[in-house]
Amino acid sequence: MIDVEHVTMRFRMANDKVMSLKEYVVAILRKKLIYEELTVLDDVSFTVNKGEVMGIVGKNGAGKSTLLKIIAGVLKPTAGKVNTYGNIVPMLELGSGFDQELSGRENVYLNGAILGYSKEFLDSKYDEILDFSELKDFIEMPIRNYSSGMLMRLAFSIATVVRPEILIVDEILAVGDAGFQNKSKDRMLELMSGGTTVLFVSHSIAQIEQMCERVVWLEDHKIKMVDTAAVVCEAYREYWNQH
Amino acid sequence: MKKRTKQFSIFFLTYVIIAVAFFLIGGEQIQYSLIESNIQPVKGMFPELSAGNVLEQSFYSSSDTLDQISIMTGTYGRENTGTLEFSLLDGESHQSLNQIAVPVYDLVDYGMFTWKFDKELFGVKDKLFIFRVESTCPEGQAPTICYSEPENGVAPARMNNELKDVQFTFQFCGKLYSWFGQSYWMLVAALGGVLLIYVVITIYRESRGKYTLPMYMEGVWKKYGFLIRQLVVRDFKIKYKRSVLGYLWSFLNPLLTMLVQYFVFSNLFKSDIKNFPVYLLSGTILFSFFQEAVGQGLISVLANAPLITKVYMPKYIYPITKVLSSSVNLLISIIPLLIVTIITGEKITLAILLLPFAIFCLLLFCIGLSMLLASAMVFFRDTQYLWGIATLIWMYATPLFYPDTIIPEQYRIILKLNPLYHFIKFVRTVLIDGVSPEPRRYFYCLVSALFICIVGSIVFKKSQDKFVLYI
Repeated sequence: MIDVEHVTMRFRMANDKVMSLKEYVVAILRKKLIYEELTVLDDVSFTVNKGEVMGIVGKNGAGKSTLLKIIAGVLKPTAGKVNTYGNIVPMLELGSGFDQELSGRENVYLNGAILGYSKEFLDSKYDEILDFSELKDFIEMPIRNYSSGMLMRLAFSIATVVRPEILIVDEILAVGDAGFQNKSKDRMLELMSGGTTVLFVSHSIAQIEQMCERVVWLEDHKIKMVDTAAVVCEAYREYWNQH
Repeated sequence: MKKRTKQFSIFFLTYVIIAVAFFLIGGEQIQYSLIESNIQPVKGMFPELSAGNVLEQSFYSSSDTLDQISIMTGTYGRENTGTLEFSLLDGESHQSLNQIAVPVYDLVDYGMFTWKFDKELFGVKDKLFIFRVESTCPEGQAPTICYSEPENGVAPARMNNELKDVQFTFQFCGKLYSWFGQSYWMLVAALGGVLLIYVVITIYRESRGKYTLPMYMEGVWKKYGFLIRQLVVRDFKIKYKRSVLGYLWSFLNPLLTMLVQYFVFSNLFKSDIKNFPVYLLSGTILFSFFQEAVGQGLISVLANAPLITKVYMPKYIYPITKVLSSSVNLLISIIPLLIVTIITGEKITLAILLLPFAIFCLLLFCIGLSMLLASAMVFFRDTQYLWGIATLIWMYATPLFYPDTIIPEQYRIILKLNPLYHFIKFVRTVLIDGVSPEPRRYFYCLVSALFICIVGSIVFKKSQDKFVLYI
């Protein structure tokens, strides 16, 4: 379902990010435009099978988020390639492209379109989204009047209304008040257990152990271990105990 | 397969309908242009042209047909009697082709007399003619004609078979058939043939399960059409969201700008321009669309940085939707333009159906330029400020409120290289003159739009993978 083949990602870090033409010319003239290469992912390869729930663990800065972005298609790797089969829903950010001036209803369609849903799909799921978000009549108000909790509820309801073939999750999102947090957590677990292929990043090793079949461990921008959840989690815990 | 065949048949039928409609609407303008030779300034007069005197002027026709000759006459400010006999002779065989006897009391001192042929002469390009003037007037009551410095390439006039080092002060007019108009049906057939071959190949390839361009475009539309519509609707909805008059501003803005310009410039340029209000309004509307669309498109990639780093969608969607959103505005402001056109007494002719062509070219042009500048903007933030200055220069270099004739001959090339000038001129010809522009104008519009669009797309495509690293 997801083939990650020898993916290497390097960022060119200029001494200082050159932002204007003048600075650029000056930098070239002074021959100061030397780039430092920063390798974020180094020859990473693994495969996620259809219907599998794959966890990714690693320290902060190990390259987990970059890897997810590459798989989601937001970033293009410097070398190597990623093949994905099926529609991907990356749950990296909720409420992308919300417009403050538009009403909740208009934002459902806007945000849905950005996430790649079709009009027919949104029409048929609209009531479900409205129900789940518990916004009721507020849905016709411009969202600049929403509280942050209401915003997150709406965003979450839109993002999780699909049954994607591939789901990319960066931490399980639990938003809103306690009631909604439980509801949203259930929704996530339901999505992840519903036969979809899931790529799941979390810092909670307990959650990973509970949810995932196999786990990739990234360490220093490389793959340190790919194995079943039990094996990797065991090793990972041991690693943290030593450090 | 069946669906494809049907789609292509509709496509083909549309092509034929457009080709025929264009031929009918374009009418005479795409067939020929009217050519008038230059009138040279008067230098003097021939001696009195009494009976027995013969004046002859030979000239080469520069047009395909010849239908009138004008000549400047002198009457010495007195009442003359008799007739002047004009005749047009074939330069080789000296055979008379056309003649007319003009009563001399019809002539005006230093006035042009226009002799319109009763039948047009055809197929006369580069042919030599002799224009002969004879007289039946008694001496002392005869008029004469004026002469000018001889032009390059024009043979001097003869008086009673004696060469004079001057030429008649005259002008000949005719039609010059355009290559485009002459070979129109051939071009239509050739393009149709190419399309047909392409269609057949595509159907064949699809039947063998190959991936083709129409399939790709269909896929893109299916996948992103809804998104593009949503983004355009969003932009349009929030544009006037909290203003009292709302969408009415799209209507009022160009009108008010036009009024201001009218009062500021009317004394300066009004007399040189036919229908000054429509002239101003068409320039204002197109230019402000251009300014708004490219200005928005320019920052579109940068402004959507939060989206680009989080969700995947083809990046060209950002500049394209911005230009499309502005074009909604443009379509609304065309309504006041049409209203003003009608109020000022211009007839709305079928030529108005040609407007979409200019708008289409303008859209392509703006999309191309937006892509180009949006890419530049990601890497150099200065682009925005440079663009501000560039549009200012561009605005003054485009004849929006002044007539294009005030630009000296040697700088006309600036106009020719300015695509906006061609788009605006196109619209003005259609609205003010009520006819189709000449074939050249279509060519300039389309080529400049396609050129910028292709350059913009290539630059955008080459740099888009790096965007996310710089925003």
